Amino acid sequence: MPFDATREAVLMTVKGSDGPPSLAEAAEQLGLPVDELDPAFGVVMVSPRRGLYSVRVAASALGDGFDPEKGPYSDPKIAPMR
Amino acid sequence: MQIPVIMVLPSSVAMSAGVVEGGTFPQGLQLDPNYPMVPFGGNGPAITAAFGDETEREQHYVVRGFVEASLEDPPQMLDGHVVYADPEIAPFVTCGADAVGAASDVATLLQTDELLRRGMDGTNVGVVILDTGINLTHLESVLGYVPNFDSANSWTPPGVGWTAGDAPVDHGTMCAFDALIAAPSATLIDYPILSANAPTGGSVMSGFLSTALLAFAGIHGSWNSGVGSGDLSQYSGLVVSNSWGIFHPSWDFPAGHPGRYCDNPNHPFILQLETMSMGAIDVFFAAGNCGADCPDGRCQNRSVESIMGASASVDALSIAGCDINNERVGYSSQGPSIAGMYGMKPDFTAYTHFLGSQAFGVDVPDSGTSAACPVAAGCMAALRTHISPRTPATPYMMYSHFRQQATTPAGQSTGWNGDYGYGIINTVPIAVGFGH
Repeated sequence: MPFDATREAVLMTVKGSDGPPSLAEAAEQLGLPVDELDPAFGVVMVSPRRGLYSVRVAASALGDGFDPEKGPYSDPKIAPMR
Repeated sequence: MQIPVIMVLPSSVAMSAGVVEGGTFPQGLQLDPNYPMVPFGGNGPAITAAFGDETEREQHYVVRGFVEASLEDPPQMLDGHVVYADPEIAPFVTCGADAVGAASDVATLLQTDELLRRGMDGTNVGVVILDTGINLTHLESVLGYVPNFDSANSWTPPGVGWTAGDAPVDHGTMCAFDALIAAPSATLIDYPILSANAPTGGSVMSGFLSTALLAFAGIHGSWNSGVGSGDLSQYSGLVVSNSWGIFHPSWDFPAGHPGRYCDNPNHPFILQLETMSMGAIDVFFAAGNCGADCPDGRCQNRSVESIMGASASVDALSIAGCDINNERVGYSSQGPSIAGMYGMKPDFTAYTHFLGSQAFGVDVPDSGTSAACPVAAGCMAALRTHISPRTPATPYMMYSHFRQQATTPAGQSTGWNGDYGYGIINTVPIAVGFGH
């Protein structure tokens, strides 16, 4: 089943020592089916120095725990400062 | 206690001030020797009627002095003369809808003529506006010239129905106009992250932080591609202006959650800011519109620790707002920022609440720290004309110079404070410091 764009999503971080991992590799790192990762977002650079990348994941696919290496991290709404 | 008062006295009384004990000067009034007697209102019948003159058509004077009384129960009269309050006054904090000055005033305050004379006009510097999108036709009509625009390196969100540079006139167009005040020859690059509607079958990222994360990654990749032409690496400097943020922690994960954004230096977006600034990209954020005097309704009356998230990151500049009279605007968020982030934010203050872009109407000011942020970003773009970020003049060094050269507003002590940061933007000395 493809990623459902209407579901609430969060940000997760994954590692990539030689550049960004593929979406499938990112899903494997997180222990999730690749369909739970947003393909339109992809794997996004956070810090090459730290080998750190981010993916967008359906919140419903995750449990309650938090892993400092992975997240989840919030994806809050943002608005203009006017 | 002694309280200050004002009295309006006829000349026959006022002139006796020097011989109070023997004259008819109001008993109980201790004259302020530093305040001259001020002729007041002529000597017409209305004056004499109003102030109970003993001598018809006599000149009146305003005198200032002190009476022994409490503020709760001051005397109403002294020797038959009304006692008027002389309350402490302060400048009105700009909160309302009316503009204070115009973009030309801002240009004067920024000394853009001096920057231009030194060849600092933003030529070959890219200014990325991450906002709702830019409308070039509107900009041209207001500016009177066609601004430089890089459509090839701009981003058009899928499904919006318009192309880069042709966005509906809105907040992003205002920001673009304001960035050009100090850097009229800079090249605008449009990243309408706040207009990213959900495309059919695509991702819903409209107005979410993840859209900014995605945008920053694209900007960083293009800037550092090493290609040197065609992409963002062709520019001699790259300045990113962000007039957006979150208005209340309730928009975020609950307090104490380790994945929260607003107070978490380990959030991926905050970590990405370090990558941007270390990658020679100058990053500016609006401090926020939750100032104590007139916070935006979305702040939910929370005005303490209201500088949050990226606006409170040590890896970007956070810009407060003041009007052209150097008075902080009442909605400008005040530091220190939220606990957990770098406390001494905002970094400095730039101008806002002036007539400029007309993006919201002919008489509607460019307002919010939304306007102050691109005004400051434009100043950085001007400097980057001749001061490359790929030299030792890194973003961090330039951030430091902006803080050090900021002007202390009248009545404020030097150094950082929560209202103005390190002071009001002062760009020319930075150029001079680099030998320009």
